Amino acid sequence: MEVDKGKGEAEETRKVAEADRDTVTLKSSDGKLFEVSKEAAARLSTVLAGMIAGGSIDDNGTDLKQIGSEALENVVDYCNKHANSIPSAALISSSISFNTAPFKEPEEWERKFVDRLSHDALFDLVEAANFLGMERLLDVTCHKISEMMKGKSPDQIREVFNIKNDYTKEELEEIRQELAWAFYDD
Amino acid sequence: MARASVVEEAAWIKAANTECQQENDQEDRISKLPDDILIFVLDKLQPCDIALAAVVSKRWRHLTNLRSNIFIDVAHFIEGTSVNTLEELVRTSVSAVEAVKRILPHSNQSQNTLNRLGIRFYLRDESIDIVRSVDKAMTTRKVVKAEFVIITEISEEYNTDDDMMDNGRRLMTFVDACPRAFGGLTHLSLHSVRLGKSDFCNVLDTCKKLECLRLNDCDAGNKSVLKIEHSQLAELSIVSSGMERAELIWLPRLTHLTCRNWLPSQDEYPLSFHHVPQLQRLTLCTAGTTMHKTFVCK
Repeated sequence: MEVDKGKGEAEETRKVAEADRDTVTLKSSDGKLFEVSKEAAARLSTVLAGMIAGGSIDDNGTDLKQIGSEALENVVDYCNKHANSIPSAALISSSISFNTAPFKEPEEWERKFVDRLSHDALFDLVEAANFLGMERLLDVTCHKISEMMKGKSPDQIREVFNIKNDYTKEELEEIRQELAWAFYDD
Repeated sequence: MARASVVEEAAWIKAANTECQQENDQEDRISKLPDDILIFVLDKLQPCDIALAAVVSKRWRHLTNLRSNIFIDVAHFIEGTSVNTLEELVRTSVSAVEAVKRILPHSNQSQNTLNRLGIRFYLRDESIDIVRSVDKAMTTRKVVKAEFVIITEISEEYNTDDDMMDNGRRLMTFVDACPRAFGGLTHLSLHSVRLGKSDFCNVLDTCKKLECLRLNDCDAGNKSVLKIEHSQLAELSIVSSGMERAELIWLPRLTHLTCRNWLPSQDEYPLSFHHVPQLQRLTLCTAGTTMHKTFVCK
């Protein structure tokens, strides 16, 4: 964050003007600017909420050096879509019951939102959501990753994500025995 | 969940041999994510998928041991779409038992706190090993929320009085053998169990941390009266019970009470409230008749 030293008064005026706006401007690592509803940003991102509350939002574009323009566009897109969607039920249920995750399943539009992403765009978005403290977006993107793993063999998972197999043949055999219950071999 | 088709012997050997062939241009994005996010991903998968993920690489195996939410549902182990024969049911039940036996002690190595542990299993003899594994886990690690959903192999409407008594006896052997497991439970759901009155009190005494109790088709004998006292219980639900009356004697923390499809005889008041100072929500839903008297509050 750039700080204008010695221009206290101008800074104050700018901050007041900033507080009056109902959008915030975010700047990606490659210098592109995006506008997002202040209300949605504060509600969906703990980091942005903190910055808005702390007055550290820059009118000319708050620098988010860790986030590329493509990912930031998706973040902003998600915030705007989220602001316009009507939540179908309470996000967190009051009592835990068996097999009820603390988060509800992705909504139809959230599913579509992550389904259209390329492999790299999905991971960029996961990282951005994590950086910005966007719990719901993290939940939706991680749900998508889990769907990509579901019902797949270790080999298939490695292939989908390009994961290097760092086991030796002996180690693999050992794990195979340990996890025999998961493989219906008999 | 037929996995036999995807995981074959050949795949394992191939996996070991292809170690050096993974030099394609695409980056391994997923392994760059921090542990907590990948654990979050694993938490969304079923036990078999989690086990398979552990085989992917050393990192993934390590991650599966760091999980703090473990849910194992016997339904995850059904081969095909449903259980049609007793043989299939036994196989499903045994698979679930084996999974619990492997997963719980294994996670132990990390000594981390388990935030939530949930297991749904059949009230069958082999399931004692599930209860034993939990009993052991309770001694070595902190378990914040633990839930048992104990179901019966025969669907509720077909259970005879003898079946229910057998179920009750079996449950008591579980409770007697592993009091620590039951003592650590915060949630318990029972199905088609008939317990002696003192047994019922024993179960409640043993489950001293219980916050939520669901009794489905459970009683202490036909036309029995159940007296309930518990210091922690916040949610109680009684569904399709053969009992005549439930007396809520001392439930200082009870906030939610639900009674569904429970048809006590018309001559008695089915519910009586003694010390239940925190009750916020009472849900009564039953195919009642005009002969049913109103509920009484003392």
